[in-house]
Amino acid sequence: MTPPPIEVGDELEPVSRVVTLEDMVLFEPEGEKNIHTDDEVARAAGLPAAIAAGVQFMSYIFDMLHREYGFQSVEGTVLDVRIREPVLAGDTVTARGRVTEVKADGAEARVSLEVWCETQRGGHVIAGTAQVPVRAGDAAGAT
Amino acid sequence: MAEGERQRADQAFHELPIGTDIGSIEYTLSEERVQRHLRATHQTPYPDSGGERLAPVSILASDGIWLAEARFDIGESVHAGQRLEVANIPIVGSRVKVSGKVIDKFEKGGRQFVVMDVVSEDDRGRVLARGRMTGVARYRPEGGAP
Repeated sequence: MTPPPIEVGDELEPVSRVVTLEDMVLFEPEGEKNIHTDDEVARAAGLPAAIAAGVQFMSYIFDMLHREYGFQSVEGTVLDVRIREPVLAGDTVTARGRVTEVKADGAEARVSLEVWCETQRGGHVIAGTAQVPVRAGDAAGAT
Repeated sequence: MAEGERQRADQAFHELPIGTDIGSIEYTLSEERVQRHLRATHQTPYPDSGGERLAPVSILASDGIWLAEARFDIGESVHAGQRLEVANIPIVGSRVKVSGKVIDKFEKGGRQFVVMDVVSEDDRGRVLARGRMTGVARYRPEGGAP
């Protein structure tokens, strides 16, 4: 079945996860004790508790793009984000994306999107843009 | 931070030339490392390709941070922005070299930010990703402990 054409304004299927302290610890090198893994270190730095590393949520966006546009779209993807609000263990973080431009180029389309991750409080954890090369037959979550 | 330490950090920041080569670091993209990243991020694994296991490209997003740690004090850990341009998907088991240079610096809100361009390459000579990282970082010209 041919996937529907990609159009400006299309919203991607969001990817949502509850962030755990275990996730935060696993994201750092083994044995690392810092503001991302240890509540005491974070409090000493003036934070309420350990906060997740901002780049951890780039992976949520990469996963969302991969699910939407397929494995063949991974190489050539450009993700550019600003890191904004901190995330604490127990927060639910949802990656979202919206198509802002589609440039067709033969069998490939260059899809531009605004992308962001938000918490259950509604604030943006990271936000920015992505450009994804979508090859014919890749879209609609083909992996 | 003690006043003397702050003055040394300020001096290092103001004397840090744009274009400074940060050097390089290397690591092995081991199966264990990849599994740890997949568990941390709950991602959908990529399919194998040509009999080789592939690692999620998001694992490269931290390369600039590990490189910066080698030459900067990033204990304050204010990471403001990150750009990642994926060239090739990394292969599990490969050796990754990360190199970079300072391309800009600025002060904002009383903090000193450094902008670094970073390139990750594997031991097959492939560029895996090009990144740009902006964050609070205090330069240590000789590397090592702050």
